[in-house]
Amino acid sequence: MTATPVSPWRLPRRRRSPLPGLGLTLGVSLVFVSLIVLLPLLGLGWQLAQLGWSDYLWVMSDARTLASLRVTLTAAAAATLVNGVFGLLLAWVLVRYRFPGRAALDALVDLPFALPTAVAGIALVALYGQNGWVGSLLAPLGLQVAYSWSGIVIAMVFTSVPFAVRAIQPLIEELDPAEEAAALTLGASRGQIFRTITLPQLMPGILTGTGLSFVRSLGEFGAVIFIAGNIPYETEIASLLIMIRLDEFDYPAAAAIAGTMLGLSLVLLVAINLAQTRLYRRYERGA
Amino acid sequence: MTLTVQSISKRYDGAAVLQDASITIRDGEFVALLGPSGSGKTTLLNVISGLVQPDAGQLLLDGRDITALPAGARRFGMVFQSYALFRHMTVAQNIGFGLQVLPRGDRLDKAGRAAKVRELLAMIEMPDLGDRYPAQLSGGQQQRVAMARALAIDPALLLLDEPFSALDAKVRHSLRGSVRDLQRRVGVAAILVTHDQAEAFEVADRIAVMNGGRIEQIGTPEELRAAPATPFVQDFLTAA
Amino acid sequence: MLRRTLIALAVLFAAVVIVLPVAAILSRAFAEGVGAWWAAVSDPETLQAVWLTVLTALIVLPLNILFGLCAAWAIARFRFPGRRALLILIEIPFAVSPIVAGLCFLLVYGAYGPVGGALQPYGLQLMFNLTGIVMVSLFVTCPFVVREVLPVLQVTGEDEEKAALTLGANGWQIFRHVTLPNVTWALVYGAILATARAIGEFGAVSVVSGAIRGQTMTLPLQIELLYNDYNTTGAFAAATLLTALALLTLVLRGAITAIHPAHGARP
Repeated sequence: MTATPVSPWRLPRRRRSPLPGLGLTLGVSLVFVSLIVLLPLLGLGWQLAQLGWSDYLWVMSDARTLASLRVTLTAAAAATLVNGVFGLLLAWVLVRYRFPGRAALDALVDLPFALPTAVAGIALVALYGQNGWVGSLLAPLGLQVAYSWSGIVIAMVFTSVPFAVRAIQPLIEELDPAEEAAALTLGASRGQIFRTITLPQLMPGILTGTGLSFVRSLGEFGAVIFIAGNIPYETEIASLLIMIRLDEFDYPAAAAIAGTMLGLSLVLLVAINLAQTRLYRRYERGA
Repeated sequence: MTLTVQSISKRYDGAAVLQDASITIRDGEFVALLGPSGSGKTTLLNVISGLVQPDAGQLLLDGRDITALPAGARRFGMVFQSYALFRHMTVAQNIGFGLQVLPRGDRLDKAGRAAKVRELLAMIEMPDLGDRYPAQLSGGQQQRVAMARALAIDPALLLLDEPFSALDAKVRHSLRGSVRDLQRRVGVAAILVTHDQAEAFEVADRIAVMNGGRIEQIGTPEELRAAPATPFVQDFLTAA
Repeated sequence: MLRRTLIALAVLFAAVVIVLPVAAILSRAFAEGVGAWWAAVSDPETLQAVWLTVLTALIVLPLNILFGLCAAWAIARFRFPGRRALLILIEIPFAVSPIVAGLCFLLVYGAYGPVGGALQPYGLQLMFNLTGIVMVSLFVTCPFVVREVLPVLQVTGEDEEKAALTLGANGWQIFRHVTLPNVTWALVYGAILATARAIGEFGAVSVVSGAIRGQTMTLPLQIELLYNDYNTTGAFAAATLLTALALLTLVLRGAITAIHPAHGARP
């Protein structure tokens, strides 16, 4: 027999807890979640249901809608790519190296989370606009960042880079240096070790980080609208088009675009979750 | 004080953890519930404490039905396997907690509570450690604080859930004696849950051997050794 | 060599993408001197926006704490049907973009929505005023406290709470003396993040605020308004207030993580 008997408290099973407070706490939670989360989401669903398929397709096949989706998706994809590369770089440097200013760099990564998006928006224009510190350097080269597609990408990079860094960081911390050493003794080069030993183990983090970063970029509004220029068909993002349709009291069109964006986000998040579970399971089975 | 446990049954997800368990604990008596893991002994203790509601059966305290009485109203002092000391409170605050949460009318005044805590600290031979926090104590000291905390409410019954299992062998031996000693001095009846046969034989007046949710046999150590009632009891007692 | 290159690249990226924008805010805000900054910050309309923002935060914070503690307690300590669904619903606001969130509220609580429409005959209006701003702020901040408190509750305290129960403590006493001390730091941490988010929220609030000048403008909305009015100093001066708040949030976070390392590992 085992030395420590299993306490029934540890076993996951349905039970009536002797602790008081279920009625009160669950009641408060349900009222809050119903009014603040569930009902608004149902409202969107209800509006979409009223719209019907043909009207939905009519809204979504509008050239301006399609253009705004294209702008949003391509910019978010580009931003995610940048974040994947630099997120990995930042996470790697923060975990593996000790250098003066490391703690400050670590704290800075969270700044985009803490900084309100409208502030980030005007800050980026101030920086990348024609008179800005960076914008004025790029202008003679014929590069215009503000009021263009690349401006949108920069705004998305800014607001979502912490997702990538923070998702990858813990996995680098968990890497076993002995595995790298073992590969080294077997004659692998540094590049080979990174590609074959390190990178595969970081994949769950990279996947989550870039996925979250993409979802965040799809929905980003405040930081983007200041720097985007908001020219219809060219630099108008989907969130802004929803806002414009709302101002025109065209609620069905706004709901159609919003429903599409929300559906896309939810599908992506579920996919990330599933993929991550599968990746983790593979390693656990191997272990 | 006499506690009568009458035909208690309990199922979890369709599996019977306790089947028709009956036992009587008399005044001042020390009873051990002995059995392997999964035998239902801890569940029985939790039913007695009020932390788990039985599906069938009755608990009678001096003839009064307390089956539906909430845990807090039973005033049974319990020592948890993990001790469950409040880690953000000092030793003295831990011991005094049960006195402090009483309704205003039944509560001792501050000086009275402090005196009682001092008395208990002396009883567990830790008179100067009242200002320490649980994390600053050894395992044995933590166990004694958990005992004092349970005794502070002048319990009708003392419930001990594997109180020695987290201690190393040497401390375990010396604490067994002092727990038995404390219980005698206070004069409270006690139920000890354990999987350790030697422990049960050393401290208990009577032992209930449990297996598969049933009580196989109840008797004094001598009776058990002399006449094991079932093959399981025979095996379990000779295996150790 | 590789090490230096990588560090240099990381620092350069952080400098250009993260630090320079913040420096640019300060540079623009103080371009015309401290006096102009002060005049812009103390402009009555801006002060009105600051007040509305603070008021919103003051209403949202206690509601958030109440809800967060209740939900975390119920989920951690009890098994009930729909427990997973509740957890998913609480997390959903993180997946919903601000404009979509605002739109959802308009569709239900606006004058043409089922709830808003039903209330209108009684003269009750929920959107385009403080109520609307508070409601969407609650939506965007709803996961923060639960997220921090729930994991702590799940790993600590159940035995302690049961011990308190056997010692005769009632529900409130258990919460007050045993549960709350165990989750204090997680609660403070979550509340700080939620408050920062509520104060800085732009997209969702801009949908439901109605943006009535001098009345329903929160500070982030006021920044947009000033900026579109070509009042650069005014916009950037207002932005310095929110920037200072963001930096304060980071410092507080860092401090809590230093005291209590279990928190702050996640964004």
